[in-house]
Amino acid sequence: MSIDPEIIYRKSDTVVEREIAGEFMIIPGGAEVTGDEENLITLNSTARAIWDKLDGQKRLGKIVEELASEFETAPGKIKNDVSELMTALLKRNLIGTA
Amino acid sequence: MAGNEMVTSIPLPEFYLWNKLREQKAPLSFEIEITARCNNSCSHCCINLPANDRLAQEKELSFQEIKEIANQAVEMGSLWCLITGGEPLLREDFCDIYLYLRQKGLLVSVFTNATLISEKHISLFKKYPPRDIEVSVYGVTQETYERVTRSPGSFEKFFRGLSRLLENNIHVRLKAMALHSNFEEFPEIASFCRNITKDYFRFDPFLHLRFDGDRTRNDEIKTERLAPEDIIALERSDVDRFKALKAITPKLTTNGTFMTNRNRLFGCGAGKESFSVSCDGIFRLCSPLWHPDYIYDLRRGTLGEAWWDFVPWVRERKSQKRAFVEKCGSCPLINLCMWCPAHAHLESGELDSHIQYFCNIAKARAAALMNEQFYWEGTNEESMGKAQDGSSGKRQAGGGYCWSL
Repeated sequence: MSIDPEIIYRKSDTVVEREIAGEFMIIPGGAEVTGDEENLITLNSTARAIWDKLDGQKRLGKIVEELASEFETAPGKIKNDVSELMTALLKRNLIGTA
Repeated sequence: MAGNEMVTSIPLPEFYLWNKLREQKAPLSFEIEITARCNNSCSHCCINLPANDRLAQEKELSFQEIKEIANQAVEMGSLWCLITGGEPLLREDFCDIYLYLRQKGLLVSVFTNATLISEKHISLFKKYPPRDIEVSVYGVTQETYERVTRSPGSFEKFFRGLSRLLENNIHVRLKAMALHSNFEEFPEIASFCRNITKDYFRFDPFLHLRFDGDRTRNDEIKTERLAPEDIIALERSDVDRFKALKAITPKLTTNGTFMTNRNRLFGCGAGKESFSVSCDGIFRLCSPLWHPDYIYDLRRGTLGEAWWDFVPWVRERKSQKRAFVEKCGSCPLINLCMWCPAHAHLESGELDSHIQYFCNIAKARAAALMNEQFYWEGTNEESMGKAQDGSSGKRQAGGGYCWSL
Protein backbone atom coordinates (compact mmCIF):
# COMPACT_ATOMS: atom_id res chain seq x y z
CA MET A 1 0.00 0.00 0.00
CA SER A 2 1.52 3.34 -0.96
CA ILE A 3 0.96 6.83 0.34
CA ASP A 4 1.76 10.21 -1.12
CA PRO A 5 4.49 11.53 1.22
CA GLU A 6 3.79 15.11 0.15
CA ILE A 7 0.11 15.17 1.06
CA ILE A 8 -0.98 17.06 4.17
CA TYR A 9 -4.12 16.05 6.06
CA ARG A 10 -6.05 17.95 8.69
CA LYS A 11 -8.67 16.73 11.12
CA SER A 12 -12.26 17.53 10.18
CA ASP A 13 -13.40 20.83 11.70
CA THR A 14 -16.40 19.26 13.41
CA VAL A 15 -14.62 16.35 15.03
CA VAL A 16 -14.30 16.56 18.79
CA GLU A 17 -11.64 14.68 20.71
CA ARG A 18 -12.54 13.58 24.20
CA GLU A 19 -11.00 11.53 26.97
CA ILE A 20 -13.82 9.43 28.43
CA ALA A 21 -13.23 7.08 31.35
CA GLY A 22 -9.54 7.26 30.59
CA GLU A 23 -9.94 6.39 26.93
CA PHE A 24 -9.48 8.55 23.88
CA MET A 25 -12.62 9.01 21.79
CA ILE A 26 -13.57 10.86 18.67
CA ILE A 27 -17.09 12.27 18.70
CA PRO A 28 -18.40 12.88 15.19
CA GLY A 29 -19.56 16.46 15.31
CA GLY A 30 -20.94 17.16 11.86
CA ALA A 31 -23.00 15.65 9.10
CA GLU A 32 -19.98 15.13 6.89
CA VAL A 33 -18.85 12.31 9.16
CA THR A 34 -20.57 9.48 7.41
CA GLY A 35 -22.19 6.45 8.94
CA ASP A 36 -21.20 7.21 12.51
CA GLU A 37 -23.69 9.84 13.60
CA GLU A 38 -24.88 7.80 16.58
CA ASN A 39 -21.55 6.17 17.27
CA LEU A 40 -18.45 6.91 19.23
CA ILE A 41 -15.13 6.25 17.56
CA THR A 42 -12.07 4.86 19.25
CA LEU A 43 -8.54 4.59 17.91
CA ASN A 44 -6.02 1.97 18.98
CA SER A 45 -2.67 3.14 20.25
CA THR A 46 -1.06 3.03 16.81
CA ALA A 47 -3.83 5.06 15.26
CA ARG A 48 -3.77 7.51 18.16
CA ALA A 49 -0.05 8.15 17.69
CA ILE A 50 -0.60 8.92 14.01
CA TRP A 51 -3.79 10.95 14.67
CA ASP A 52 -1.95 13.21 17.11
CA LYS A 53 0.43 14.23 14.35
CA LEU A 54 -2.28 15.31 11.92
CA ASP A 55 -1.88 19.01 12.58
CA GLY A 56 -2.76 20.24 9.10
CA GLN A 57 0.85 21.28 8.49
CA LYS A 58 3.02 18.18 8.42
CA ARG A 59 3.46 16.15 5.23
CA LEU A 60 2.68 12.45 5.60
CA GLY A 61 6.31 11.71 4.75
CA LYS A 62 7.41 13.79 7.73
CA ILE A 63 4.92 12.06 10.00
CA VAL A 64 6.26 8.65 8.94
CA GLU A 65 9.82 9.78 9.64
CA GLU A 66 8.93 11.08 13.10
CA LEU A 67 7.00 7.95 14.08
CA ALA A 68 9.74 5.63 12.79
CA SER A 69 12.21 7.48 14.96
CA GLU A 70 9.98 7.68 18.06
CA PHE A 71 8.95 4.01 17.95
CA GLU A 72 12.23 2.67 16.53
CA THR A 73 10.29 0.86 13.85
CA ALA A 74 11.07 0.39 10.16
CA PRO A 75 9.55 3.20 8.02
CA GLY A 76 7.97 0.57 5.76
CA LYS A 77 5.83 -0.78 8.60
CA ILE A 78 4.89 2.75 9.69
CA LYS A 79 3.92 3.63 6.11
CA ASN A 80 1.51 0.69 6.01
CA ASP A 81 -0.09 1.75 9.29
CA VAL A 82 -0.40 5.36 8.16
CA SER A 83 -1.88 4.31 4.86
CA GLU A 84 -4.41 2.02 6.54
CA LEU A 85 -5.44 4.72 8.97
CA MET A 86 -5.74 7.46 6.34
CA THR A 87 -8.02 5.18 4.31
CA ALA A 88 -10.22 4.51 7.34
CA LEU A 89 -10.38 8.16 8.36
CA LEU A 90 -11.05 9.41 4.83
CA LYS A 91 -13.84 6.86 4.43
CA ARG A 92 -15.57 8.43 7.44
CA ASN A 93 -14.65 12.00 6.47
CA LEU A 94 -12.85 12.40 9.76
CA ILE A 95 -9.97 14.06 7.91
CA GLY A 96 -9.51 16.11 4.76
CA THR A 97 -6.62 17.54 2.81
CA ALA A 98 -5.20 20.71 4.30
CA MET B 1 3.37 -0.39 16.95
CA ALA B 2 0.50 -2.68 17.10
CA GLY B 3 -2.17 -4.63 15.96
CA ASN B 4 -5.87 -4.75 16.18
CA GLU B 5 -8.50 -2.64 14.38
CA MET B 6 -7.14 0.91 14.04
CA VAL B 7 -10.50 2.65 14.00
CA THR B 8 -13.50 1.23 15.81
CA SER B 9 -16.95 2.71 15.55
CA ILE B 10 -19.11 1.80 18.53
CA PRO B 11 -22.90 2.17 18.57
CA LEU B 12 -23.95 3.91 21.78
CA PRO B 13 -25.85 0.98 23.32
CA GLU B 14 -22.77 -1.20 22.88
CA PHE B 15 -20.43 1.41 24.31
CA TYR B 16 -18.14 -0.66 26.51
CA LEU B 17 -17.25 2.21 28.81
CA TRP B 18 -20.75 2.64 30.25
CA ASN B 19 -19.93 0.37 33.18
CA LYS B 20 -16.61 2.07 33.79
CA LEU B 21 -18.33 5.46 33.77
CA ARG B 22 -20.97 4.13 36.15
CA GLU B 23 -18.29 2.82 38.50
CA GLN B 24 -16.76 6.29 38.48
CA LYS B 25 -20.23 7.68 39.29
CA ALA B 26 -19.95 10.08 36.36
CA PRO B 27 -23.01 12.05 35.28
CA LEU B 28 -23.52 10.37 31.90
CA SER B 29 -26.25 12.72 30.81
CA PHE B 30 -28.02 15.90 31.79
CA GLU B 31 -30.95 17.95 30.72
CA ILE B 32 -31.04 21.70 30.65
CA GLU B 33 -34.25 23.68 30.52
CA ILE B 34 -33.04 26.78 28.72
CA THR B 35 -36.35 28.57 29.21
CA ALA B 36 -39.55 28.09 31.18
CA ARG B 37 -41.44 30.09 28.54
CA CYS B 38 -43.48 28.61 25.73
CA ASN B 39 -45.39 29.92 22.73
CA ASN B 40 -48.16 27.40 23.46
CA SER B 41 -50.24 27.30 26.61
CA CYS B 42 -50.98 23.60 26.93
CA SER B 43 -53.43 22.73 29.64
CA HIS B 44 -51.46 19.71 30.83
CA CYS B 45 -47.97 21.22 30.89
CA CYS B 46 -45.81 21.51 34.00
CA ILE B 47 -43.56 24.29 32.66
CA ASN B 48 -44.92 26.82 30.21
CA LEU B 49 -44.89 30.45 31.24
CA PRO B 50 -46.07 32.92 28.58
CA ALA B 51 -43.60 33.54 25.76
CA ASN B 52 -43.48 37.25 26.56
CA ASP B 53 -42.96 36.83 30.32
CA ARG B 54 -40.21 39.41 30.83
CA LEU B 55 -39.46 38.41 34.42
CA ALA B 56 -39.03 34.77 33.46
CA GLN B 57 -36.75 35.79 30.60
CA GLU B 58 -34.57 37.92 32.87
CA LYS B 59 -34.02 34.96 35.21
CA GLU B 60 -32.83 32.66 32.43
CA LEU B 61 -29.26 31.44 32.40
CA SER B 62 -27.13 33.43 29.99
CA PHE B 63 -25.32 31.72 27.14
CA GLN B 64 -22.10 32.19 29.11
CA GLU B 65 -23.58 30.50 32.20
CA ILE B 66 -24.83 27.60 30.10
CA LYS B 67 -21.36 27.25 28.59
CA GLU B 68 -19.82 27.08 32.06
CA ILE B 69 -22.25 24.36 33.18
CA ALA B 70 -21.63 22.38 29.99
CA ASN B 71 -17.86 22.71 30.41
CA GLN B 72 -18.07 21.29 33.91
CA ALA B 73 -20.40 18.48 32.82
CA VAL B 74 -18.10 17.44 29.99
CA GLU B 75 -15.12 17.57 32.31
CA MET B 76 -17.00 15.18 34.62
CA GLY B 77 -17.70 12.73 31.78
CA SER B 78 -21.14 13.65 30.43
CA LEU B 79 -21.83 12.31 26.98
CA TRP B 80 -25.41 13.26 26.27
CA CYS B 81 -27.38 16.44 26.80
CA LEU B 82 -31.06 17.17 26.37
CA ILE B 83 -32.06 20.74 25.59
CA THR B 84 -35.60 21.31 26.74
CA GLY B 85 -37.91 24.00 28.09
CA GLY B 86 -40.52 25.43 27.96
CA GLU B 87 -40.04 25.74 24.26
CA PRO B 88 -36.25 25.95 23.77
CA LEU B 89 -36.51 27.46 20.28
CA LEU B 90 -38.00 30.59 21.82
CA ARG B 91 -34.52 31.65 22.88
CA GLU B 92 -32.84 33.80 20.28
CA ASP B 93 -29.49 32.22 21.12
CA PHE B 94 -30.79 28.65 20.78
CA CYS B 95 -28.51 27.98 17.79
CA ASP B 96 -25.46 29.25 19.68
CA ILE B 97 -26.28 27.07 22.67
CA TYR B 98 -26.92 24.00 20.51
CA LEU B 99 -23.75 24.47 18.52
CA TYR B 100 -21.64 24.99 21.63
CA LEU B 101 -22.90 21.78 23.22
CA ARG B 102 -22.26 19.85 20.01
CA GLN B 103 -18.77 21.28 19.73
CA LYS B 104 -18.03 20.23 23.28
CA GLY B 105 -18.45 16.64 22.09
CA LEU B 106 -21.89 16.08 23.56
CA LEU B 107 -24.59 14.10 21.80
CA VAL B 108 -27.52 16.50 21.86
CA SER B 109 -31.26 15.88 21.87
CA VAL B 110 -33.89 18.61 21.71
CA PHE B 111 -37.49 18.55 22.93
CA THR B 112 -39.66 20.93 20.93
CA ASN B 113 -43.22 21.49 19.76
CA ALA B 114 -41.75 22.18 16.28
CA THR B 115 -43.85 25.29 15.73
CA LEU B 116 -40.80 27.56 15.56
CA ILE B 117 -38.61 25.38 13.33
CA SER B 118 -37.15 27.65 10.64
CA GLU B 119 -34.68 27.25 7.78
CA LYS B 120 -31.99 28.48 10.17
CA HIS B 121 -32.63 25.51 12.47
CA ILE B 122 -32.76 23.09 9.57
CA SER B 123 -29.35 24.30 8.30
CA LEU B 124 -27.90 23.91 11.78
CA PHE B 125 -29.32 20.42 12.31
CA LYS B 126 -28.16 19.32 8.87
CA LYS B 127 -24.62 20.50 9.45
CA TYR B 128 -24.45 19.37 13.07
CA PRO B 129 -26.99 16.56 13.42
CA PRO B 130 -28.74 16.13 16.74
CA ARG B 131 -29.00 12.73 18.34
CA ASP B 132 -32.71 13.32 17.94
CA ILE B 133 -35.36 16.00 17.91
CA GLU B 134 -38.32 14.86 19.96
CA VAL B 135 -41.52 16.52 18.81
CA SER B 136 -44.72 16.52 20.84
CA VAL B 137 -47.91 15.67 18.96
CA TYR B 138 -51.00 16.93 20.75
CA GLY B 139 -53.51 16.12 18.05
CA VAL B 140 -53.78 15.42 14.35
CA THR B 141 -56.64 17.79 13.68
CA GLN B 142 -56.55 21.51 14.21
CA GLU B 143 -59.48 21.30 16.60
CA THR B 144 -57.87 18.79 18.96
CA TYR B 145 -54.35 20.15 18.67
CA GLU B 146 -55.39 23.70 19.48
CA ARG B 147 -57.78 22.54 22.21
CA VAL B 148 -54.63 21.32 23.98
CA THR B 149 -52.22 24.13 23.05
CA ARG B 150 -54.81 26.93 23.37
CA SER B 151 -52.79 28.78 20.77
CA PRO B 152 -54.65 29.67 17.56
CA GLY B 153 -52.67 28.85 14.44
CA SER B 154 -50.33 26.49 16.31
CA PHE B 155 -51.48 23.38 14.42
CA GLU B 156 -50.44 24.78 11.07
CA LYS B 157 -47.07 25.90 12.46
CA PHE B 158 -46.51 22.51 14.09
CA PHE B 159 -47.29 20.70 10.87
CA ARG B 160 -45.01 22.98 8.84
CA GLY B 161 -42.15 22.59 11.35
CA LEU B 162 -42.47 18.82 11.56
CA SER B 163 -42.63 18.54 7.76
CA ARG B 164 -39.46 20.63 7.45
CA LEU B 165 -37.62 18.32 9.82
CA LEU B 166 -38.80 15.18 8.08
CA GLU B 167 -38.17 16.49 4.54
CA ASN B 168 -34.59 17.24 5.53
CA ASN B 169 -34.05 13.83 7.10
CA ILE B 170 -33.42 15.22 10.55
CA HIS B 171 -33.70 12.45 13.11
CA VAL B 172 -37.15 12.99 14.62
CA ARG B 173 -38.82 11.07 17.39
CA LEU B 174 -42.44 11.64 18.23
CA LYS B 175 -44.22 11.57 21.53
CA ALA B 176 -47.80 12.16 22.52
CA MET B 177 -49.18 13.01 25.91
CA ALA B 178 -52.49 11.23 26.41
CA LEU B 179 -54.99 13.68 27.84
CA HIS B 180 -58.66 14.11 28.40
CA SER B 181 -58.57 16.76 25.64
CA ASN B 182 -57.17 14.42 22.98
CA PHE B 183 -58.23 11.02 24.27
CA GLU B 184 -60.94 10.48 21.66
CA GLU B 185 -58.44 11.20 18.90
CA PHE B 186 -55.62 9.20 20.42
CA PRO B 187 -55.87 6.19 18.08
CA GLU B 188 -55.45 8.59 15.14
CA ILE B 189 -52.56 10.36 16.89
CA ALA B 190 -50.81 7.05 17.49
CA SER B 191 -51.40 5.95 13.93
CA PHE B 192 -50.11 9.28 12.56
CA CYS B 193 -46.95 9.01 14.63
CA ARG B 194 -46.27 5.39 13.74
CA ASN B 195 -46.77 6.11 10.05
CA ILE B 196 -44.28 8.93 9.79
CA THR B 197 -41.46 7.79 12.00
CA LYS B 198 -39.23 4.80 11.41
CA ASP B 199 -38.14 5.20 14.98
CA TYR B 200 -40.16 4.44 18.08
CA PHE B 201 -43.06 6.60 19.09
CA ARG B 202 -43.83 6.97 22.75
CA PHE B 203 -46.93 8.08 24.54
CA ASP B 204 -47.29 9.16 28.10
CA PRO B 205 -50.52 9.33 30.09
CA PHE B 206 -48.79 10.24 33.36
CA LEU B 207 -49.19 13.94 33.96
CA HIS B 208 -47.35 15.45 36.88
CA LEU B 209 -48.05 18.81 38.40
CA ARG B 210 -46.31 22.10 37.74
CA PHE B 211 -42.84 22.98 38.92
CA ASP B 212 -44.00 26.48 39.92
CA GLY B 213 -46.92 25.11 41.97
CA ASP B 214 -49.45 27.38 40.20
CA ARG B 215 -52.76 26.20 41.70
CA THR B 216 -55.00 27.27 38.84
CA ARG B 217 -52.78 25.57 36.29
CA ASN B 218 -52.46 22.50 38.51
CA ASP B 219 -56.24 22.20 38.53
CA GLU B 220 -56.15 22.24 34.73
CA ILE B 221 -53.57 19.44 34.71
CA LYS B 222 -55.72 17.37 37.06
CA THR B 223 -58.66 17.87 34.73
CA GLU B 224 -56.57 16.51 31.85
CA ARG B 225 -55.60 13.33 33.70
CA LEU B 226 -57.06 10.11 32.39
CA ALA B 227 -58.87 7.66 34.56
CA PRO B 228 -56.93 4.48 35.41
CA GLU B 229 -59.08 2.32 33.12
CA ASP B 230 -58.40 4.67 30.20
CA ILE B 231 -54.68 4.46 30.85
CA ILE B 232 -54.89 0.68 30.88
CA ALA B 233 -56.87 0.71 27.63
CA LEU B 234 -54.18 2.85 26.03
CA GLU B 235 -51.41 0.60 27.26
CA ARG B 236 -53.24 -2.44 25.95
CA SER B 237 -53.68 -0.77 22.57
CA ASP B 238 -49.92 -0.79 22.08
CA VAL B 239 -49.62 -4.55 21.82
CA ASP B 240 -45.82 -4.73 21.68
CA ARG B 241 -45.31 -2.37 24.59
CA PHE B 242 -47.93 -4.12 26.67
CA LYS B 243 -46.38 -7.52 25.96
CA ALA B 244 -42.93 -6.26 26.91
CA LEU B 245 -44.26 -4.70 30.09
CA LYS B 246 -46.10 -7.88 30.95
CA ALA B 247 -42.94 -9.93 30.47
CA ILE B 248 -40.94 -7.87 32.93
CA THR B 249 -43.73 -7.36 35.46
CA PRO B 250 -42.67 -10.28 37.68
CA LYS B 251 -39.23 -8.73 37.95
CA LEU B 252 -40.63 -5.26 38.52
CA THR B 253 -42.83 -6.44 41.34
CA THR B 254 -40.33 -8.60 43.21
CA ASN B 255 -37.52 -6.11 43.58
CA GLY B 256 -36.19 -6.58 47.09
CA THR B 257 -34.53 -3.20 47.44
CA PHE B 258 -37.52 -1.34 48.72
CA MET B 259 -38.34 -4.15 51.11
CA THR B 260 -35.01 -3.81 52.90
CA ASN B 261 -34.77 0.00 52.76
CA ARG B 262 -38.39 0.83 53.42
CA ASN B 263 -37.79 4.30 54.77
CA ARG B 264 -35.35 5.34 52.06
CA LEU B 265 -36.89 7.99 49.84
CA PHE B 266 -34.77 7.76 46.73
CA GLY B 267 -34.75 4.13 45.69
CA CYS B 268 -35.02 5.37 42.11
CA GLY B 269 -32.29 6.38 39.68
CA ALA B 270 -32.48 10.12 40.41
CA GLY B 271 -29.00 11.58 40.51
CA LYS B 272 -27.29 8.26 39.81
CA GLU B 273 -26.26 8.90 36.22
CA SER B 274 -27.95 12.13 35.29
CA PHE B 275 -29.11 15.49 36.54
CA SER B 276 -31.32 18.35 35.51
CA VAL B 277 -30.74 22.11 35.44
CA SER B 278 -33.57 24.64 35.38
CA CYS B 279 -33.59 27.75 33.23
CA ASP B 280 -32.38 29.78 36.22
CA GLY B 281 -29.56 27.44 37.16
CA ILE B 282 -31.22 25.25 39.77
CA PHE B 283 -29.64 21.79 39.87
CA ARG B 284 -31.92 18.86 40.67
CA LEU B 285 -31.36 15.12 40.77
CA CYS B 286 -34.20 14.80 38.30
CA SER B 287 -36.45 17.23 36.53
CA PRO B 288 -39.53 17.16 38.85
CA LEU B 289 -37.60 17.16 42.14
CA TRP B 290 -38.33 20.69 43.30
CA HIS B 291 -38.45 20.25 47.08
CA PRO B 292 -36.63 23.36 48.40
CA ASP B 293 -34.30 21.26 50.59
CA TYR B 294 -33.20 19.15 47.64
CA ILE B 295 -32.20 21.69 45.04
CA TYR B 296 -28.82 23.33 44.49
CA ASP B 297 -28.25 26.75 42.97
CA LEU B 298 -25.48 26.56 40.37
CA ARG B 299 -25.22 30.34 40.44
CA ARG B 300 -23.84 29.97 43.98
CA GLY B 301 -21.78 26.83 43.64
CA THR B 302 -20.19 24.50 41.15
CA LEU B 303 -21.57 21.49 39.35
CA GLY B 304 -18.84 19.41 40.99
CA GLU B 305 -20.05 20.40 44.47
CA ALA B 306 -23.64 19.64 43.47
CA TRP B 307 -22.76 16.25 42.00
CA TRP B 308 -20.12 14.93 44.36
CA ASP B 309 -21.33 16.39 47.68
CA PHE B 310 -25.00 17.32 47.43
CA VAL B 311 -26.36 14.35 45.44
CA PRO B 312 -25.08 11.60 47.77
CA TRP B 313 -26.53 13.49 50.74
CA VAL B 314 -29.95 13.73 49.06
CA ARG B 315 -29.97 10.10 48.03
CA GLU B 316 -29.47 9.01 51.63
CA ARG B 317 -32.53 10.90 52.89
CA LYS B 318 -35.07 8.79 54.71
CA SER B 319 -38.70 9.21 55.62
CA GLN B 320 -39.62 9.48 59.27
CA LYS B 321 -43.24 8.59 58.58
CA ARG B 322 -44.48 5.20 59.67
CA ALA B 323 -47.30 5.45 57.15
CA PHE B 324 -44.76 5.77 54.32
CA VAL B 325 -42.77 2.77 55.53
CA GLU B 326 -45.90 0.68 55.73
CA LYS B 327 -47.43 1.86 52.46
CA CYS B 328 -45.40 3.22 49.53
CA GLY B 329 -42.05 2.33 51.11
CA SER B 330 -42.86 -1.35 51.06
CA CYS B 331 -45.31 -1.57 48.18
CA PRO B 332 -44.50 -4.32 45.68
CA LEU B 333 -46.19 -2.28 42.94
CA ILE B 334 -43.90 0.72 43.33
CA ASN B 335 -42.27 0.08 39.95
CA LEU B 336 -45.66 0.19 38.24
CA CYS B 337 -46.60 3.36 40.06
CA MET B 338 -46.23 7.00 39.12
CA TRP B 339 -45.23 7.59 42.73
CA CYS B 340 -41.79 8.92 43.45
CA PRO B 341 -40.68 11.45 46.07
CA ALA B 342 -40.55 14.22 43.46
CA HIS B 343 -44.07 13.59 42.13
CA ALA B 344 -45.43 13.14 45.65
CA HIS B 345 -43.97 16.52 46.59
CA LEU B 346 -45.54 18.22 43.57
CA GLU B 347 -48.90 16.71 44.55
CA SER B 348 -48.87 17.27 48.28
CA GLY B 349 -45.88 19.36 49.34
CA GLU B 350 -44.35 16.28 50.99
CA LEU B 351 -41.89 13.80 49.57
CA ASP B 352 -43.32 10.82 51.41
CA SER B 353 -47.06 11.21 50.93
CA HIS B 354 -49.28 8.49 49.56
CA ILE B 355 -51.10 9.74 46.44
CA GLN B 356 -54.37 7.94 45.86
CA TYR B 357 -54.57 8.63 42.12
CA PHE B 358 -51.12 7.12 41.56
CA CYS B 359 -52.04 4.16 43.73
CA ASN B 360 -55.19 3.51 41.74
CA ILE B 361 -53.26 3.56 38.47
CA ALA B 362 -50.61 1.19 39.85
CA LYS B 363 -53.25 -1.26 41.01
CA ALA B 364 -55.07 -1.07 37.71
CA ARG B 365 -51.83 -1.70 35.83
CA ALA B 366 -50.94 -4.59 38.10
CA ALA B 367 -54.36 -6.10 37.61
CA ALA B 368 -54.06 -5.81 33.85
CA LEU B 369 -50.52 -7.13 33.74
CA MET B 370 -50.76 -9.86 36.34
CA ASN B 371 -54.41 -10.90 36.02
CA GLU B 372 -54.86 -10.36 39.71
CA GLN B 373 -57.21 -8.33 41.81
CA PHE B 374 -56.23 -5.18 43.62
CA TYR B 375 -58.62 -3.05 45.56
CA TRP B 376 -59.02 0.54 44.51
CA GLU B 377 -59.40 2.09 47.92
CA GLY B 378 -60.24 5.72 47.38
CA THR B 379 -61.51 8.11 44.81
CA ASN B 380 -59.57 10.02 42.17
CA GLU B 381 -61.36 13.27 42.85
CA GLU B 382 -58.50 15.24 44.35
CA SER B 383 -55.93 14.25 41.77
CA MET B 384 -58.13 14.35 38.71
CA GLY B 385 -60.38 17.35 39.14
CA LYS B 386 -63.45 17.97 37.09
CA ALA B 387 -63.37 17.24 33.41
CA GLN B 388 -64.18 19.91 30.88
CA ASP B 389 -67.52 18.34 30.16
CA GLY B 390 -68.45 18.77 33.81
CA SER B 391 -68.22 15.07 34.63
CA SER B 392 -65.95 13.71 37.34
CA GLY B 393 -63.17 13.08 34.80
CA LYS B 394 -63.26 9.37 35.42
CA ARG B 395 -65.41 6.67 33.97
CA GLN B 396 -66.29 4.89 37.21
CA ALA B 397 -67.04 6.18 40.63
CA GLY B 398 -64.38 5.42 43.19
CA GLY B 399 -64.80 3.91 46.61
CA GLY B 400 -64.08 0.25 47.00
CA TYR B 401 -63.76 -0.44 43.30
CA CYS B 402 -62.23 -3.81 42.62
CA TRP B 403 -59.95 -4.28 39.64
CA SER B 404 -60.17 -7.57 37.90
CA LEU B 405 -59.20 -7.27 34.27
